[in-house]
Amino acid sequence: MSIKYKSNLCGGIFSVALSILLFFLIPRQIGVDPASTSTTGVDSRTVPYAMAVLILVCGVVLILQSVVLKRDTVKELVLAKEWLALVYIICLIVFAMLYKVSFILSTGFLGIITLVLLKCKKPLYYVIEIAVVVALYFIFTELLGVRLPALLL
Amino acid sequence: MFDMIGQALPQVFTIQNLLFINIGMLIGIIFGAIPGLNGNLAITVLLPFTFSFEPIPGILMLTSIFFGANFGGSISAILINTPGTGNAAATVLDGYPLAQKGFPKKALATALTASTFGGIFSALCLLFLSEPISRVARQMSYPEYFALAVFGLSIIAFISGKSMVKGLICGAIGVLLSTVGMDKTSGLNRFTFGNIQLYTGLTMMAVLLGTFAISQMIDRVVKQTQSESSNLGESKSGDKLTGQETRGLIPTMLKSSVIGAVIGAIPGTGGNIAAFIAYNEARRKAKKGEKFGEGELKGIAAPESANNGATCCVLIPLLTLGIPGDIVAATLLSALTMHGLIVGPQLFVNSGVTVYAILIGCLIAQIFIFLQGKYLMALFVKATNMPYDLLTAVLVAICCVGAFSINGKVMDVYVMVIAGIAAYFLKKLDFPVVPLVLGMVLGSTAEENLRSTMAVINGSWLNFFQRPVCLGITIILLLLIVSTVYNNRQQRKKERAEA
Repeated sequence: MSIKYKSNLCGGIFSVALSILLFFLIPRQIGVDPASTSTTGVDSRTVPYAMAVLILVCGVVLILQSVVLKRDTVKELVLAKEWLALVYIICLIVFAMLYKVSFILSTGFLGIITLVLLKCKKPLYYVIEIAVVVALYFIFTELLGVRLPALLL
Repeated sequence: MFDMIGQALPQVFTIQNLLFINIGMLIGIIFGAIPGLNGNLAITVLLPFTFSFEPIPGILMLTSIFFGANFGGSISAILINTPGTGNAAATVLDGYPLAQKGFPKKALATALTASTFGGIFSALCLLFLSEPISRVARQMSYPEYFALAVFGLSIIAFISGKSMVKGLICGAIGVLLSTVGMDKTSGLNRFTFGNIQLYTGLTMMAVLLGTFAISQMIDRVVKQTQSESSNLGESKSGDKLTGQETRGLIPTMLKSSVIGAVIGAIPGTGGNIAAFIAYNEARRKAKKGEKFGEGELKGIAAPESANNGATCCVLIPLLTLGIPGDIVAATLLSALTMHGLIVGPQLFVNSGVTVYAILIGCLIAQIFIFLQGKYLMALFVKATNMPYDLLTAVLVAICCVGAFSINGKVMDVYVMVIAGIAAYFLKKLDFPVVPLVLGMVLGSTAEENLRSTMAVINGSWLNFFQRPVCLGITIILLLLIVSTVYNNRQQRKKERAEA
């Protein structure tokens, strides 16, 4: 089963949505700097607003290219394969959450999941992966003086 | 000057100095080649060890790390589509496609030759032209830096591939990412969402790792097999750089080295801007049959010559004015000070012989890049011939440790993961990610200098265009835009006629 989508149309919709989000976020995330506004007209919000406008305009252009000019490419998402991306993305998020607990645990987990999803059937590679993670831990902590998270080794 | 060079020569050619140059070079190449590590980390770690050395061998080892890391970054850019340093981001554009076609050694040899060429050119400029170049650099102020940053950003339009509009969107996203953190002018926090770890902004290397490496790992997991994925295949016959090809690259390397040297000498710019400008210039002058973005040799030689052309010249504002041009130069500044060399206009007067010995050592280091690179290249190519699944898993582990080691912050790991996921989805929509990197690199430079420029020109843009360098850059930019639009139109007419 696959999903077909138009690259320019979807890209345009994404861009317009992003710009709307930015217009919402900018006044909430960036305060007003009265000092610089009065002298130069350029303040902390100028560049973010300019980029939001640029993204909006470009997004509209992409939508027009797709809908009016019919200049678009149809791409296909093969769900049988893409579900692996979803699983890996979830694993990446779990890895990120575990990272501050333990480098070895989190990175080892991610490395092993990578091998599993790549359908690796050789136990030796799993051992090598864990060995690499442990080696990296000791190289960085002992040799390079980088304090990696190590609540549980 | 020649007097001091004469006195410095015997001081450079000692076994100790040559040994330390080579050790520094080796460490630099390895650190630069591993994504997440960089020359600055290596310099910072090894700096305390150099305190017990004399100034010349100590500084030479540290500068050799810097030069080696610059070349090392292009190794991973070419072999695994992940620039090891920000300076190698432009090398990915043609380096990786050429390696994918079965010519990784040719791609690496091109990068090595171009790096050596650019490095020697830069070292000669540093040795003989430091004073005149620094005089020109002193004339530059905020408006000139702003003009240069905008010029660099405009290259987004030219490296966006099939869709300039999508490239502009990614470039704008990159500029937005550069605004995260505390605004240096007003002190206000932007897009920090109350998280103290974001006050210092997003780490560029973390975004690079996510954008190039993590998104690629997700892609590999989806594509599963070597033949489907973009892993390198076996090296084909003819996988070496011939003498004829090298001779053909000389004009490109020379032009790019000049671009690198000029831009490197300007504080706050650096090799990455030079690399993109040189790449764009080479692409613009492409002859019939030269397909940039598909493994064109000039597409590798141009950014490599430029970014190495910038390496020694980055030291010019540091040595002559005491202004570090980038973060590595700032680290070297502390190294020079620790060794009793006080940078600034009096450096050449007070410690001329020592300084010239270091500069000559920088020139010699460029030759050692070539010698070491030749042998290390083969090792790295062999490393990427590991089994596909094991290589992917090992690279993931290296990125995970690399992201954290940049600043010792877990936030950088989060940034890497989020950037990787976002880049994967952007690629699904055919958005090019290189403009995002360029936007992030140049965004903060452009904004800071825009605001300072507005103060300098008193809000009147007429004052901006009255400055010769600003006017010159604006004219060049307009000509570039016009010529690109014209060439694209001609190209489309040709394609329609052929169809």
